[in-house]
Amino acid sequence: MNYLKLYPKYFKMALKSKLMYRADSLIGLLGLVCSNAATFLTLYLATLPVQRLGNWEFFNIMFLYGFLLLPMGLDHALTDRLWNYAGGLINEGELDRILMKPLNPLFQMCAEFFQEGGVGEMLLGVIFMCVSGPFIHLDMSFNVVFPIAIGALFSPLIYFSIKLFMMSIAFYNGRSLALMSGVYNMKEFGKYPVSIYHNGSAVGGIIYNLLLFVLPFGLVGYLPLSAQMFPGERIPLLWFSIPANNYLIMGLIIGVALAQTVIAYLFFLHSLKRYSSAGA
Amino acid sequence: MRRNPFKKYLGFIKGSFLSVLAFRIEILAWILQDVLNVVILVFLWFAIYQQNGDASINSFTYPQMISYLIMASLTNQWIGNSDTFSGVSRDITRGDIATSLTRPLSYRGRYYAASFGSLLANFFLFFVPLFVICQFVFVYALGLAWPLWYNVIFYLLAGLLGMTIIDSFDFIIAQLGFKTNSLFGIFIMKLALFSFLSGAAIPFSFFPSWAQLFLPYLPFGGLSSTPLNIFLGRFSPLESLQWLAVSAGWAVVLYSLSLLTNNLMIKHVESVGG
Repeated sequence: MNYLKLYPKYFKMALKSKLMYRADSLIGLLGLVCSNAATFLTLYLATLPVQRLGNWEFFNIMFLYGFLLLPMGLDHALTDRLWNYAGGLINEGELDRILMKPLNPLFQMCAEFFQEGGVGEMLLGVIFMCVSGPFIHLDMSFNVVFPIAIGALFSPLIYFSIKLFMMSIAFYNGRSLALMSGVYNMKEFGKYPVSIYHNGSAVGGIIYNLLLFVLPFGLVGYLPLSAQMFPGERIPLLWFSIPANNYLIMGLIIGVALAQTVIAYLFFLHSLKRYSSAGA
Repeated sequence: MRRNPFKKYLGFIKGSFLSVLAFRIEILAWILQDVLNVVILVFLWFAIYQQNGDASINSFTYPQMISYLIMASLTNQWIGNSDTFSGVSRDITRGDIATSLTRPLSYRGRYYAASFGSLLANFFLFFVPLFVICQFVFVYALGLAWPLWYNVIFYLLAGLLGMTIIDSFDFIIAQLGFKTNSLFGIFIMKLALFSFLSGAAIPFSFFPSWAQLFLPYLPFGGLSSTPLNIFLGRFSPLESLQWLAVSAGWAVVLYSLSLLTNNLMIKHVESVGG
Protein backbone atom coordinates (compact mmCIF):
# COMPACT_ATOMS: atom_id res chain seq x y z
CA MET A 1 0.00 0.00 0.00
CA ASN A 2 1.02 3.54 -0.71
CA TYR A 3 0.98 4.64 2.94
CA LEU A 4 3.11 1.72 4.06
CA LYS A 5 5.80 2.87 1.65
CA LEU A 6 5.41 6.52 2.58
CA TYR A 7 5.48 6.08 6.33
CA PRO A 8 9.15 5.01 6.57
CA LYS A 9 10.09 8.05 4.48
CA TYR A 10 8.12 10.42 6.71
CA PHE A 11 9.54 8.70 9.77
CA LYS A 12 13.09 9.10 8.51
CA MET A 13 12.53 12.80 7.90
CA ALA A 14 11.01 13.32 11.34
CA LEU A 15 13.88 11.45 12.97
CA LYS A 16 16.50 13.37 11.00
CA SER A 17 15.00 16.71 11.93
CA LYS A 18 15.25 15.65 15.58
CA LEU A 19 18.79 14.31 15.31
CA MET A 20 19.95 17.57 13.81
CA TYR A 21 19.99 18.92 17.35
CA ARG A 22 21.36 16.02 19.36
CA ALA A 23 21.64 17.81 22.70
CA ASP A 24 18.07 19.11 22.38
CA SER A 25 16.77 15.62 21.65
CA LEU A 26 18.52 14.33 24.74
CA ILE A 27 16.86 17.01 26.87
CA GLY A 28 13.48 16.17 25.35
CA LEU A 29 14.08 12.51 26.10
CA LEU A 30 15.08 13.22 29.69
CA GLY A 31 12.10 15.52 30.28
CA LEU A 32 9.47 12.82 30.26
CA VAL A 33 11.83 10.40 32.04
CA CYS A 34 12.24 12.89 34.90
CA SER A 35 8.53 13.51 35.09
CA ASN A 36 7.71 9.79 35.31
CA ALA A 37 10.56 9.14 37.71
CA ALA A 38 9.24 11.86 40.02
CA THR A 39 5.70 10.46 39.93
CA PHE A 40 7.03 7.00 40.64
CA LEU A 41 9.32 8.14 43.47
CA THR A 42 6.32 9.87 45.07
CA LEU A 43 4.37 6.64 44.83
CA TYR A 44 7.35 4.77 46.28
CA LEU A 45 7.65 7.11 49.28
CA ALA A 46 3.88 7.00 49.83
CA THR A 47 3.63 3.21 49.87
CA LEU A 48 6.91 2.70 51.73
CA PRO A 49 5.35 2.75 55.22
CA VAL A 50 2.67 0.17 54.34
CA GLN A 51 4.41 -1.72 51.49
CA ARG A 52 1.18 -2.62 49.70
CA LEU A 53 -2.17 -1.50 48.25
CA GLY A 54 -4.65 -4.34 48.69
CA ASN A 55 -2.94 -7.44 47.34
CA TRP A 56 -0.66 -5.33 45.15
CA GLU A 57 2.77 -5.25 46.76
CA PHE A 58 5.32 -2.60 45.94
CA PHE A 59 7.06 -4.53 43.16
CA ASN A 60 3.69 -5.42 41.58
CA ILE A 61 2.91 -1.71 41.45
CA MET A 62 6.32 -0.93 39.98
CA PHE A 63 5.86 -3.60 37.31
CA LEU A 64 2.44 -2.17 36.43
CA TYR A 65 3.94 1.31 36.11
CA GLY A 66 6.74 0.06 33.85
CA PHE A 67 4.33 -1.98 31.73
CA LEU A 68 2.07 1.07 31.23
CA LEU A 69 4.96 3.21 30.05
CA LEU A 70 5.43 1.03 26.93
CA PRO A 71 2.09 1.74 25.15
CA MET A 72 2.03 5.26 26.57
CA GLY A 73 5.56 5.94 25.30
CA LEU A 74 4.83 4.45 21.87
CA ASP A 75 1.80 6.70 21.51
CA HIS A 76 3.83 9.72 22.67
CA ALA A 77 6.61 8.99 20.20
CA LEU A 78 4.42 8.62 17.12
CA THR A 79 1.37 10.85 17.51
CA ASP A 80 2.37 13.69 19.81
CA ARG A 81 1.96 16.35 17.15
CA LEU A 82 -1.78 16.26 17.87
CA TRP A 83 -1.08 18.32 21.01
CA ASN A 84 0.28 21.16 18.91
CA TYR A 85 -2.76 21.08 16.64
CA ALA A 86 -5.00 21.33 19.70
CA GLY A 87 -2.83 24.13 21.06
CA GLY A 88 -2.98 26.61 18.19
CA LEU A 89 -1.38 25.15 15.05
CA ILE A 90 -4.80 25.20 13.40
CA ASN A 91 -5.13 28.93 14.02
CA GLU A 92 -1.71 29.41 12.49
CA GLY A 93 -2.90 27.90 9.23
CA GLU A 94 -0.82 24.74 9.42
CA LEU A 95 -3.79 22.70 8.28
CA ASP A 96 -3.94 24.48 4.90
CA ARG A 97 -0.54 23.08 4.02
CA ILE A 98 -1.66 19.60 5.02
CA LEU A 99 -4.93 19.70 3.13
CA MET A 100 -3.12 20.73 -0.06
CA LYS A 101 -1.43 17.34 -0.35
CA PRO A 102 -3.32 14.38 -1.78
CA LEU A 103 -2.72 12.32 1.35
CA ASN A 104 -4.80 11.47 4.40
CA PRO A 105 -4.58 14.55 6.66
CA LEU A 106 -4.40 12.52 9.87
CA PHE A 107 -1.54 10.46 8.43
CA GLN A 108 0.42 13.61 7.69
CA MET A 109 -0.35 15.23 11.04
CA CYS A 110 1.05 12.26 12.95
CA ALA A 111 3.86 11.09 10.66
CA GLU A 112 5.54 14.47 10.34
CA PHE A 113 6.72 14.52 13.92
CA PHE A 114 8.68 12.28 16.22
CA GLN A 115 8.54 12.86 19.98
CA GLU A 116 11.81 11.57 21.41
CA GLY A 117 10.43 11.75 24.95
CA GLY A 118 8.34 8.68 24.16
CA VAL A 119 11.50 6.66 23.63
CA GLY A 120 12.67 7.76 27.05
CA GLU A 121 9.39 6.59 28.57
CA MET A 122 9.66 3.20 26.91
CA LEU A 123 13.26 2.81 28.12
CA LEU A 124 12.20 3.72 31.66
CA GLY A 125 9.34 1.22 31.37
CA VAL A 126 11.73 -1.58 30.42
CA ILE A 127 14.03 -0.66 33.31
CA PHE A 128 11.13 -0.66 35.80
CA MET A 129 9.96 -4.08 34.55
CA CYS A 130 13.46 -5.57 34.67
CA VAL A 131 14.05 -4.28 38.21
CA SER A 132 10.71 -5.39 39.65
CA GLY A 133 10.20 -8.59 37.60
CA PRO A 134 12.50 -10.86 39.67
CA PHE A 135 10.72 -9.94 42.92
CA ILE A 136 7.20 -10.97 41.90
CA HIS A 137 5.46 -14.08 40.71
CA LEU A 138 5.13 -13.89 36.92
CA ASP A 139 3.54 -16.68 34.93
CA MET A 140 5.65 -16.84 31.76
CA SER A 141 3.68 -19.58 29.97
CA PHE A 142 2.62 -18.93 26.37
CA ASN A 143 -1.08 -18.73 27.17
CA VAL A 144 -0.44 -15.84 29.54
CA VAL A 145 2.31 -13.86 27.81
CA PHE A 146 0.88 -14.08 24.27
CA PRO A 147 -2.53 -12.46 24.99
CA ILE A 148 -0.87 -9.78 27.13
CA ALA A 149 1.55 -8.95 24.31
CA ILE A 150 -1.22 -8.80 21.69
CA GLY A 151 -3.34 -6.65 23.99
CA ALA A 152 -0.37 -4.32 24.56
CA LEU A 153 0.01 -3.90 20.79
CA PHE A 154 -3.53 -2.52 20.62
CA SER A 155 -3.53 -0.46 23.80
CA PRO A 156 -1.60 2.54 22.38
CA LEU A 157 -4.77 3.07 20.32
CA ILE A 158 -6.62 3.81 23.56
CA TYR A 159 -4.35 6.79 24.28
CA PHE A 160 -4.32 7.81 20.62
CA SER A 161 -8.10 7.73 20.10
CA ILE A 162 -8.77 9.86 23.18
CA LYS A 163 -6.21 12.42 22.03
CA LEU A 164 -7.63 12.42 18.50
CA PHE A 165 -11.20 12.90 19.70
CA MET A 166 -10.34 15.82 21.98
CA MET A 167 -8.05 17.40 19.40
CA SER A 168 -10.82 17.31 16.77
CA ILE A 169 -12.82 19.74 18.89
CA ALA A 170 -10.22 22.33 17.93
CA PHE A 171 -11.65 22.34 14.39
CA TYR A 172 -14.70 24.07 15.82
CA ASN A 173 -13.08 26.75 17.96
CA GLY A 174 -9.39 26.74 17.06
CA ARG A 175 -8.10 25.53 20.41
CA SER A 176 -8.90 22.55 22.58
CA LEU A 177 -5.72 22.21 24.60
CA ALA A 178 -7.17 22.65 28.10
CA LEU A 179 -9.98 20.19 27.43
CA MET A 180 -7.66 17.68 25.78
CA SER A 181 -5.19 17.87 28.59
CA GLY A 182 -7.95 17.46 31.17
CA VAL A 183 -9.35 14.30 29.62
CA TYR A 184 -5.97 12.85 28.65
CA ASN A 185 -4.62 13.36 32.15
CA MET A 186 -7.22 10.95 33.44
CA LYS A 187 -4.48 8.49 32.45
CA GLU A 188 -2.87 9.33 35.79
CA PHE A 189 -5.69 7.37 37.45
CA GLY A 190 -4.50 4.27 35.58
CA LYS A 191 -0.96 4.45 36.96
CA TYR A 192 -2.11 2.86 40.21
CA PRO A 193 -3.87 -0.48 40.57
CA VAL A 194 -7.41 0.52 39.59
CA SER A 195 -8.73 -1.66 42.39
CA ILE A 196 -7.99 1.15 44.88
CA TYR A 197 -10.99 3.05 43.44
CA HIS A 198 -13.23 0.02 43.93
CA ASN A 199 -13.40 0.54 47.67
CA GLY A 200 -17.13 0.30 48.18
CA SER A 201 -17.91 4.01 47.83
CA ALA A 202 -20.27 5.16 45.08
CA VAL A 203 -17.81 7.68 43.63
CA GLY A 204 -15.10 5.05 43.63
CA GLY A 205 -17.34 2.60 41.78
CA ILE A 206 -18.10 5.18 39.11
CA ILE A 207 -14.41 6.04 38.65
CA TYR A 208 -13.50 2.35 38.52
CA ASN A 209 -15.94 1.55 35.72
CA LEU A 210 -15.16 4.82 33.93
CA LEU A 211 -11.53 3.74 33.81
CA LEU A 212 -12.42 0.39 32.30
CA PHE A 213 -14.97 1.48 29.68
CA VAL A 214 -15.21 5.20 28.96
CA LEU A 215 -11.64 6.42 29.40
CA PRO A 216 -10.25 2.89 29.50
CA PHE A 217 -6.80 3.62 30.88
CA GLY A 218 -7.38 0.87 33.42
CA LEU A 219 -7.62 -1.65 30.60
CA VAL A 220 -4.08 -0.96 29.45
CA GLY A 221 -2.19 -2.20 32.46
CA TYR A 222 -4.39 -3.14 35.38
CA LEU A 223 -6.64 -5.79 33.82
CA PRO A 224 -4.03 -7.85 31.93
CA LEU A 225 -1.53 -7.70 34.78
CA SER A 226 -3.98 -8.54 37.53
CA ALA A 227 -4.94 -11.63 35.51
CA GLN A 228 -1.23 -12.40 35.21
CA MET A 229 -0.25 -11.83 38.82
CA PHE A 230 -3.38 -12.98 40.61
CA PRO A 231 -4.85 -15.80 38.49
CA GLY A 232 -8.10 -17.32 39.69
CA GLU A 233 -9.49 -14.08 41.13
CA ARG A 234 -12.60 -12.54 39.68
CA ILE A 235 -12.52 -8.98 38.39
CA PRO A 236 -15.60 -6.84 39.16
CA LEU A 237 -17.08 -4.95 36.21
CA LEU A 238 -20.22 -2.81 36.36
CA TRP A 239 -22.67 -5.02 38.31
CA PHE A 240 -21.12 -8.40 37.44
CA SER A 241 -17.63 -9.86 37.52
CA ILE A 242 -15.49 -11.72 35.02
CA PRO A 243 -12.91 -14.43 35.63
CA ALA A 244 -9.32 -13.22 35.29
CA ASN A 245 -8.82 -14.92 31.93
CA ASN A 246 -6.08 -13.48 29.74
CA TYR A 247 -7.73 -14.20 26.41
CA LEU A 248 -11.02 -12.70 27.57
CA ILE A 249 -9.18 -9.55 28.67
CA MET A 250 -7.23 -9.44 25.40
CA GLY A 251 -10.53 -9.52 23.51
CA LEU A 252 -11.89 -6.72 25.70
CA ILE A 253 -8.82 -4.54 25.07
CA ILE A 254 -8.88 -5.09 21.31
CA GLY A 255 -12.63 -4.49 21.13
CA VAL A 256 -12.59 -1.28 23.18
CA ALA A 257 -9.42 0.05 21.48
CA LEU A 258 -10.74 -0.52 17.96
CA ALA A 259 -14.22 0.81 18.75
CA GLN A 260 -12.78 3.99 20.28
CA THR A 261 -10.40 4.52 17.39
CA VAL A 262 -13.20 4.20 14.83
CA ILE A 263 -15.43 6.61 16.77
CA ALA A 264 -12.59 9.12 17.19
CA TYR A 265 -11.64 8.90 13.50
CA LEU A 266 -15.23 9.39 12.35
CA PHE A 267 -15.51 12.41 14.64
CA PHE A 268 -12.22 13.71 13.23
CA LEU A 269 -13.52 13.44 9.65
CA HIS A 270 -16.81 15.02 10.62
CA SER A 271 -15.13 17.94 12.43
CA LEU A 272 -12.61 18.46 9.65
CA LYS A 273 -15.48 19.52 7.38
CA ARG A 274 -16.18 22.34 9.82
CA TYR A 275 -12.70 23.71 9.36
CA SER A 276 -12.51 26.91 7.40
CA SER A 277 -9.16 28.38 6.55
CA ALA A 278 -8.27 31.71 8.06
CA GLY A 279 -6.63 32.86 4.86
CA ALA A 280 -9.39 32.18 2.40
CA MET B 1 10.06 66.42 40.76
CA ARG B 2 11.13 62.79 41.02
CA ARG B 3 8.81 60.36 39.29
CA ASN B 4 7.84 57.20 41.04
CA PRO B 5 10.19 54.55 39.56
CA PHE B 6 7.64 51.80 40.15
CA LYS B 7 4.81 53.55 38.37
CA LYS B 8 5.80 52.25 34.95
CA TYR B 9 5.44 48.68 36.18
CA LEU B 10 1.85 49.23 37.32
CA GLY B 11 0.67 48.79 33.74
CA PHE B 12 2.14 45.30 33.63
CA ILE B 13 0.52 44.34 36.92
CA LYS B 14 -2.82 45.54 35.60
CA GLY B 15 -2.29 43.92 32.19
CA SER B 16 -1.63 40.44 33.50
CA PHE B 17 -4.44 40.82 36.05
CA LEU B 18 -6.86 41.51 33.22
CA SER B 19 -5.54 38.69 31.04
CA VAL B 20 -6.26 36.22 33.84
CA LEU B 21 -9.80 37.62 33.95
CA ALA B 22 -10.11 37.23 30.18
CA PHE B 23 -9.03 33.58 30.22
CA ARG B 24 -11.04 32.62 33.30
CA ILE B 25 -12.96 29.85 31.51
CA GLU B 26 -9.80 28.21 30.26
CA ILE B 27 -8.21 28.56 33.70
CA LEU B 28 -11.28 26.94 35.20
CA ALA B 29 -10.69 23.96 32.90
CA TRP B 30 -7.14 23.67 34.25
CA ILE B 31 -8.47 23.91 37.80
CA LEU B 32 -10.84 21.02 37.08
CA GLN B 33 -7.75 18.99 36.26
CA ASP B 34 -6.28 19.83 39.65
CA VAL B 35 -9.54 18.67 41.21
CA LEU B 36 -9.23 15.36 39.34
CA ASN B 37 -5.68 14.97 40.60
CA VAL B 38 -6.85 15.57 44.15
CA VAL B 39 -9.53 12.89 43.66
CA ILE B 40 -6.86 10.37 42.62
CA LEU B 41 -4.81 11.27 45.69
CA VAL B 42 -7.79 10.93 48.01
CA PHE B 43 -8.32 7.36 46.80
CA LEU B 44 -4.63 6.48 46.77
CA TRP B 45 -4.09 7.70 50.31
CA PHE B 46 -7.32 6.11 51.46
CA ALA B 47 -5.96 2.75 50.26
CA ILE B 48 -2.65 3.44 51.98
CA TYR B 49 -4.21 4.42 55.31
CA GLN B 50 -6.55 1.43 55.12
CA GLN B 51 -3.50 -0.85 55.03
CA ASN B 52 -2.22 0.87 58.09
CA GLY B 53 -5.38 0.50 60.16
CA ASP B 54 -6.03 4.26 59.92
CA ALA B 55 -3.27 5.19 62.37
CA SER B 56 -1.09 8.19 61.56
CA ILE B 57 1.80 7.68 59.15
CA ASN B 58 4.94 9.82 59.49
CA SER B 59 3.04 12.22 61.80
CA PHE B 60 0.12 12.64 59.35
CA THR B 61 -3.38 11.31 59.96
CA TYR B 62 -5.60 10.69 56.92
CA PRO B 63 -7.56 13.99 57.27
CA GLN B 64 -4.32 15.89 57.81
CA MET B 65 -2.81 14.31 54.70
CA ILE B 66 -5.84 15.16 52.57
CA SER B 67 -5.90 18.76 53.79
CA TYR B 68 -2.14 19.01 53.13
CA LEU B 69 -2.53 17.81 49.53
CA ILE B 70 -5.58 19.98 48.82
CA MET B 71 -3.82 23.04 50.21
CA ALA B 72 -0.74 22.17 48.11
CA SER B 73 -2.88 22.27 44.99
CA LEU B 74 -4.63 25.49 46.05
CA THR B 75 -1.36 27.18 46.97
CA ASN B 76 0.12 26.40 43.60
CA GLN B 77 -2.94 27.98 42.00
CA TRP B 78 -2.14 31.44 43.30
CA ILE B 79 1.64 31.44 43.63
CA GLY B 80 2.69 29.21 40.73
CA ASN B 81 0.76 30.53 37.76
CA SER B 82 3.01 33.19 36.36
CA ASP B 83 3.64 33.53 32.66
CA THR B 84 7.35 34.20 33.10
CA PHE B 85 8.72 30.91 31.74
CA SER B 86 6.61 30.85 28.58
CA GLY B 87 6.89 34.61 28.13
CA VAL B 88 10.69 34.78 28.31
CA SER B 89 11.17 31.67 26.17
CA ARG B 90 8.73 33.07 23.59
CA ASP B 91 10.63 36.36 23.54
CA ILE B 92 13.86 34.49 22.93
CA THR B 93 12.69 32.06 20.23
CA ARG B 94 10.73 34.71 18.32
CA GLY B 95 13.35 37.40 18.74
CA ASP B 96 10.92 39.80 20.42
CA ILE B 97 13.47 40.21 23.16
CA ALA B 98 15.35 42.76 21.07
CA THR B 99 12.42 45.17 21.02
CA SER B 100 11.63 44.47 24.67
CA LEU B 101 15.09 45.66 25.60
CA THR B 102 14.62 49.00 23.90
CA ARG B 103 11.93 49.91 26.43
CA PRO B 104 13.01 52.15 29.30
CA LEU B 105 12.36 49.61 32.05
CA SER B 106 13.97 46.51 33.50
CA TYR B 107 13.14 43.41 31.50
CA ARG B 108 13.30 41.32 34.69
CA GLY B 109 11.20 43.81 36.64
CA ARG B 110 8.57 43.82 33.94
CA TYR B 111 8.05 40.06 34.20
CA TYR B 112 8.02 40.18 37.99
CA ALA B 113 5.33 42.86 37.86
CA ALA B 114 3.29 40.77 35.42
CA SER B 115 3.60 37.74 37.70
CA PHE B 116 2.43 39.82 40.62
CA GLY B 117 -0.61 40.89 38.62
CA SER B 118 -1.58 37.33 37.76
CA LEU B 119 -0.97 36.35 41.39
CA LEU B 120 -3.50 38.96 42.52
CA ALA B 121 -6.05 37.88 39.93
CA ASN B 122 -5.65 34.18 40.70
CA PHE B 123 -5.78 34.91 44.41
CA PHE B 124 -9.07 36.81 44.41
CA LEU B 125 -10.79 35.07 41.51
CA PHE B 126 -9.98 31.43 42.24
CA PHE B 127 -8.04 30.92 45.45
CA VAL B 128 -10.25 32.78 47.92
CA PRO B 129 -13.58 31.14 46.95
CA LEU B 130 -12.05 27.65 46.68
CA PHE B 131 -10.17 28.20 49.93
CA VAL B 132 -13.35 29.12 51.82
CA ILE B 133 -15.17 26.05 50.49
CA CYS B 134 -12.22 23.82 51.40
CA GLN B 135 -12.05 25.25 54.93
CA PHE B 136 -15.64 24.20 55.54
CA VAL B 137 -14.82 20.73 54.18
CA PHE B 138 -11.75 20.50 56.43
CA VAL B 139 -13.66 21.50 59.54
CA TYR B 140 -17.03 19.81 59.04
CA ALA B 141 -16.15 16.76 56.90
CA LEU B 142 -12.62 15.98 58.03
CA GLY B 143 -12.95 17.19 61.63
CA LEU B 144 -9.93 19.49 61.57
CA ALA B 145 -9.66 22.75 63.52
CA TRP B 146 -10.08 26.23 61.99
CA PRO B 147 -6.69 27.79 61.08
CA LEU B 148 -5.20 30.31 63.52
CA TRP B 149 -5.18 33.95 62.37
CA TYR B 150 -1.43 34.42 62.69
CA ASN B 151 -0.79 31.21 60.75
CA VAL B 152 -2.95 32.58 57.91
CA ILE B 153 -0.88 35.79 57.85
CA PHE B 154 2.40 33.84 57.93
CA TYR B 155 1.03 31.59 55.17
CA LEU B 156 0.26 34.55 52.91
CA LEU B 157 3.76 35.94 53.53
CA ALA B 158 5.31 32.55 52.77
CA GLY B 159 3.23 32.38 49.59
CA LEU B 160 4.53 35.74 48.39
CA LEU B 161 8.11 34.63 49.03
CA GLY B 162 7.38 31.32 47.29
CA MET B 163 6.06 33.17 44.25
CA THR B 164 9.27 35.22 44.11
CA ILE B 165 11.32 32.02 44.25
CA ILE B 166 9.32 30.31 41.48
CA ASP B 167 9.28 33.40 39.30
CA SER B 168 13.04 33.90 39.60
CA PHE B 169 13.69 30.22 38.86
CA ASP B 170 11.42 30.39 35.82
CA PHE B 171 13.18 33.51 34.59
CA ILE B 172 16.62 31.95 34.97
CA ILE B 173 15.66 28.60 33.44
CA ALA B 174 13.83 30.18 30.48
CA GLN B 175 17.08 31.84 29.45
CA LEU B 176 18.41 28.41 28.56
CA GLY B 177 16.39 29.13 25.40
CA PHE B 178 19.57 30.76 24.12
CA LYS B 179 21.32 27.40 24.33
CA THR B 180 18.67 24.86 23.43
CA ASN B 181 15.50 24.51 21.37
CA SER B 182 14.05 21.92 23.69
CA LEU B 183 12.35 24.20 26.19
CA PHE B 184 9.41 21.81 26.39
CA GLY B 185 11.70 19.11 27.80
CA ILE B 186 13.13 21.59 30.28
CA PHE B 187 9.63 22.75 31.23
CA ILE B 188 8.50 19.18 31.96
CA MET B 189 11.66 18.52 33.97
CA LYS B 190 11.15 21.72 35.94
CA LEU B 191 7.56 20.84 36.82
CA ALA B 192 8.58 17.35 37.99
CA LEU B 193 11.49 18.66 40.04
CA PHE B 194 9.44 21.44 41.65
CA SER B 195 6.53 19.25 42.65
CA PHE B 196 8.76 16.50 44.06
CA LEU B 197 11.38 18.60 45.86
CA SER B 198 8.97 21.25 47.17
CA GLY B 199 6.92 18.78 49.17
CA ALA B 200 3.83 19.45 47.03
CA ALA B 201 3.55 15.83 45.91
CA ILE B 202 4.32 14.31 49.31
CA PRO B 203 5.31 15.87 52.67
CA PHE B 204 8.98 15.97 53.60
CA SER B 205 8.35 13.66 56.57
CA PHE B 206 7.88 10.77 54.10
CA PHE B 207 11.40 11.21 52.72
CA PRO B 208 14.32 9.15 54.07
CA SER B 209 15.89 10.71 57.17
CA TRP B 210 19.09 11.72 55.34
CA ALA B 211 17.06 13.71 52.82
CA GLN B 212 15.03 15.39 55.57
CA LEU B 213 18.26 16.92 56.87
CA PHE B 214 18.80 19.17 53.85
CA LEU B 215 15.52 19.23 51.84
CA PRO B 216 13.85 21.99 53.90
CA TYR B 217 16.90 24.21 53.40
CA LEU B 218 16.72 24.05 49.61
CA PRO B 219 14.80 26.87 47.90
CA PHE B 220 12.09 24.44 46.71
CA GLY B 221 10.69 23.97 50.22
CA GLY B 222 9.57 27.60 50.14
CA LEU B 223 7.10 26.78 47.35
CA SER B 224 4.99 24.27 49.25
CA SER B 225 6.38 22.70 52.37
CA THR B 226 6.97 25.92 54.31
CA PRO B 227 3.65 27.67 53.55
CA LEU B 228 1.66 24.45 54.06
CA ASN B 229 3.25 23.47 57.36
CA ILE B 230 2.72 27.02 58.60
CA PHE B 231 -0.90 27.10 57.53
CA LEU B 232 -1.75 23.69 58.97
CA GLY B 233 -0.28 24.74 62.31
CA ARG B 234 2.56 22.23 62.26
CA PHE B 235 5.08 24.95 63.15
CA SER B 236 5.19 27.05 66.33
CA PRO B 237 5.17 30.82 65.66
CA LEU B 238 8.92 30.92 66.29
CA GLU B 239 9.54 28.05 63.86
CA SER B 240 7.32 29.77 61.31
CA LEU B 241 9.45 32.90 61.52
CA GLN B 242 12.62 30.85 61.15
CA TRP B 243 11.39 29.12 57.99
CA LEU B 244 10.05 32.40 56.62
CA ALA B 245 13.57 33.77 57.04
CA VAL B 246 14.99 30.82 55.04
CA SER B 247 12.46 31.48 52.25
CA ALA B 248 13.18 35.20 52.32
CA GLY B 249 16.90 34.48 52.02
CA TRP B 250 16.33 32.31 48.96
CA ALA B 251 13.95 34.83 47.43
CA VAL B 252 16.61 37.55 47.68
CA VAL B 253 19.39 35.29 46.39
CA LEU B 254 17.38 33.97 43.44
CA TYR B 255 15.96 37.35 42.48
CA SER B 256 19.51 38.76 42.45
CA LEU B 257 20.67 35.79 40.39
CA SER B 258 17.87 36.40 37.90
CA LEU B 259 18.99 40.04 37.59
CA LEU B 260 22.57 38.89 37.07
CA THR B 261 21.66 36.36 34.37
CA ASN B 262 19.46 39.01 32.79
CA ASN B 263 22.47 41.31 32.47
CA LEU B 264 24.59 38.53 31.00
CA MET B 265 21.76 37.71 28.61
CA ILE B 266 21.51 41.25 27.35
CA LYS B 267 25.13 41.03 26.24
CA HIS B 268 24.27 37.81 24.42
CA VAL B 269 21.45 39.53 22.55
CA GLU B 270 23.83 42.26 21.42
CA SER B 271 26.33 39.76 20.06
CA VAL B 272 23.60 37.95 18.12
CA GLY B 273 21.89 41.06 16.81
CA GLY B 274 25.13 42.62 15.62
